[in-house]
Amino acid sequence: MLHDLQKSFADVALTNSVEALLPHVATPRGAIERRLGVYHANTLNSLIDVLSAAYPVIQRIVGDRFFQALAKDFIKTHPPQQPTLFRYGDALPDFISSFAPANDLPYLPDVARLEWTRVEAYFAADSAALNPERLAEVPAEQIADIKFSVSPTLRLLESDVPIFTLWHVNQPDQDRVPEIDFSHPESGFVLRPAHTVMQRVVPMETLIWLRALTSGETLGTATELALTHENTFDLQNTLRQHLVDGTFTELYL
Amino acid sequence: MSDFASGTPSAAWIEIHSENFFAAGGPRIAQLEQVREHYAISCHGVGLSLGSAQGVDADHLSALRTLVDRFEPGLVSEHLSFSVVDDIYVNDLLPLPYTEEALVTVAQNVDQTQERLGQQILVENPSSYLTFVDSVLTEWDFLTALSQRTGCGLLLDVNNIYVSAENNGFDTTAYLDGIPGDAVGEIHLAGHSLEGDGEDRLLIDTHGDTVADPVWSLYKLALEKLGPRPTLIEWDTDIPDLEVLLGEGETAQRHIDSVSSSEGSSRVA
Repeated sequence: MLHDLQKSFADVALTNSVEALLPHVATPRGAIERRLGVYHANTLNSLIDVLSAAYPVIQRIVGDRFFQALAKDFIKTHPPQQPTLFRYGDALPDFISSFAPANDLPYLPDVARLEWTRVEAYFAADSAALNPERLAEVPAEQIADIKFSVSPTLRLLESDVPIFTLWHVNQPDQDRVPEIDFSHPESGFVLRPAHTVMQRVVPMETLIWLRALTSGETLGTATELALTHENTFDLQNTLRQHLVDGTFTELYL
Repeated sequence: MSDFASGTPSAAWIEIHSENFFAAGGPRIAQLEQVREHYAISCHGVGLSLGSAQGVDADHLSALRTLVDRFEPGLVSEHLSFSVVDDIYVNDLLPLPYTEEALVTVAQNVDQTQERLGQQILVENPSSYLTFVDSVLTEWDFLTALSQRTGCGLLLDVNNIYVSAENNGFDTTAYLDGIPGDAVGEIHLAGHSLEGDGEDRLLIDTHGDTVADPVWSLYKLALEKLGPRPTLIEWDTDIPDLEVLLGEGETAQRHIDSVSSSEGSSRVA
């Protein structure tokens, strides 16, 4: 049966378990295990490269050898379920949480979430930013009723650890890692306004405001929620900044 | 790819790995739009898994159709191999046993693909490091039958023929004599590496080096038998300076020109 042979071959490629396939192979026994090893190495190394491209900051933090071990364990337990490999690796952050050797780096899963979020934003659909004049045309008494649709590249992040700072200090051009307060929480967003992915740390009240708008609340309700959290929330400046960033794509009344 | 977005390098067409452009948007798609303004595009897939016993994936076909509609490639190609089993994707082009069951499976999958895309596809011979006891057909007879049953064209990878022949002990001339020349719509060339010697000797299809001399000879023989064909140099790992790559392309073009009776309609990418 073709399916059974293919299953056996896939086991060779992913885990190097060769026993089930051997009876089907005509190549002489002496040479065959090494040849099957080529398929295993091709599969494993190419998938490690895929994860390495998606998670350069994690790789820099833990080092190449640790990252290889992490990637190999992940590939074994979470092989790709579809062939579009820029979507492979979304489950790595959760996997890191359960990966015992990473237990003494409790910030690692959230930094990985930020990296995956950037990958998602990079490949998300294009959209044009809302023209600020649309907002200027809204009568003052209706401003609170505005609802926005947001860019398909927008991702909101909230963490108990300084993920954005950790990401920044682990960029290739940073050769000296400064002192970091690992207990400092950070929230923020990732956005791809045109072709470059950007990210910004924002205060918790701004994240609350963005989260409300993203889930379809009116500008009035979102602003009340933000003010409840922090009564110095500055609506005008925050709104202006997000119009510049291109966070919103359309407004409705 | 940024070199090609400006349209400066001389190349007849640009071949992309289809799956790399399955995104909804973003910089890669935008860059391909720019490349498209200067060059024809060929979509070369690595993930459809035409050999899968479970059939080809409908979502994957839809994504490919979207790409084809958007970039209107001159050619669409895939491999005679499988990479999906029980909904797990193995990121390699695994060879098939050449049996009647496999032929029926691949033919169904090719039919479905051509129907969904509304156009013919080319199917490429794989490189392989082993053969199966179950096989009853040679690879060239399998490809011939597949082309006859489905109307698909063939993408002849001359490096793969050489690598597989050296590893598995078949005659490259019999291969070239055995395939239906009219079905061949494109040729691939690439570099390979040699590991071990004696019984351990193994050629590995790396796409990471210049084209080897015996492969150039086989390419020359293929062109003499088939006539000129559009030819692509594949180089995916350890990518050299663009000049080295273009130099390989010029060598291939000289071979094509030497077999072209009138003006050479076939070009090197």
